[in-house]
Amino acid sequence: MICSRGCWMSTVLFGGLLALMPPVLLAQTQDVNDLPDAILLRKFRPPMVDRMRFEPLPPEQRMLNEPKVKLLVRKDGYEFCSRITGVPISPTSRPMACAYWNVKRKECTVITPEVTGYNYVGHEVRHCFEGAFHD
Amino acid sequence: MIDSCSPQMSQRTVNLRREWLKKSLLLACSGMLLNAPAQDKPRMRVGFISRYQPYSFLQTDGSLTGFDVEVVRSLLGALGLAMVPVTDTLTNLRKKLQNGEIDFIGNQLLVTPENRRHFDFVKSYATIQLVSVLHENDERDLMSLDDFLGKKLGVLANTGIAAQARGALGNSVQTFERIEDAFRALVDRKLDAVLEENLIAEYHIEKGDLPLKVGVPFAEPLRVGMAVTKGNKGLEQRLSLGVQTLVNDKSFKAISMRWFGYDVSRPRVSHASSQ
Repeated sequence: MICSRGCWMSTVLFGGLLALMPPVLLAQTQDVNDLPDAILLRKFRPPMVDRMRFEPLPPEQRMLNEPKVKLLVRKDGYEFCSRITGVPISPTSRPMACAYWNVKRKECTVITPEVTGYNYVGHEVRHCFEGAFHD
Repeated sequence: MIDSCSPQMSQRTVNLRREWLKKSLLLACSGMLLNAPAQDKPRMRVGFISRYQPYSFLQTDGSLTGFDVEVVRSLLGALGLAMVPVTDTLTNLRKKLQNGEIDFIGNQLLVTPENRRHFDFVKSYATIQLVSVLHENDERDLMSLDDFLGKKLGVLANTGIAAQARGALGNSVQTFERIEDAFRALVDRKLDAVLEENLIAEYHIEKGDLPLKVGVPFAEPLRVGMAVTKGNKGLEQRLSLGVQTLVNDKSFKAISMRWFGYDVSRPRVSHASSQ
């Protein structure tokens, strides 16, 4: 359920400690599962590669050992990832997150849509260390 | 007796000598094949664009150098072949390939539908992608052409990138005849960013020790590869297999490090799939 302004007000009036919280924190009580991106997220199951255990590469074999990682959350997350990877957006599949890196500067940027999952962020962080580890 | 036998013995000796000589020659030849110097190896005539930094270009002394030149020399060396470079413009190299004057084009050409009508392509050995180039201290997230509205963007003149950027951003896009001049303007902070291929940018940053960085990819990796005559599957597969082995070899990494400062055979973007 998306909390309307009326709902937010009643939380403030009757929520005890919640009433003392700043509005920014209260806004986070909104259920992300009700946001439009979450509908897409629920539609797609994490692929097999994200449901398996793995052994991280030893430091000397990593592409970047101590990368500076930036997480960018974008409204157009799917479209951006599709544009830089060439993976098309279709009703049945799409890039759920992506990353790009600069080996010389030891920097890596992870991009996700506004709502994402632990597996997608984790998957991209692994790329930041190990580079290409699948297909 | 000796005399009477002499002609017979002489014939036997000649036959033995002939046999010995034949064997010796065979041995010598096999030795030559094993330790054949470069000039005796089978030769491949390879076309390179004569002015295409950093991939292939003529130095002031007239000698040919470049990343592609070194990679192809190493690739053919591993296959037991010697490279005979032929330099020209791309248009002329295409003609020479079609006329059989060269065996393949050593630069990686774009795999476009038009090019695929004329050529078959060898597996790529470098990830090439259109990227933004920014000042090294610039932390802004300029991720798409829309983000450059009201900002100054530099591109190489008379290219598809220039046309696309002009179409989206109008006259705030500055075009340059030489990409080096665009990078110089960026260093001097007369531009907010430059759009260029990652390897060309990396080369100029490395070579000029410029205070710039390769930033965000602006498009998917380009499909590129060395071009062989359409239908020459044998050569295409032989070279593709060679490339596959070469990119995992130390010699390739050394060449890549020398020109760009890192292993450019590896991708620089990734994605998490949906199922």
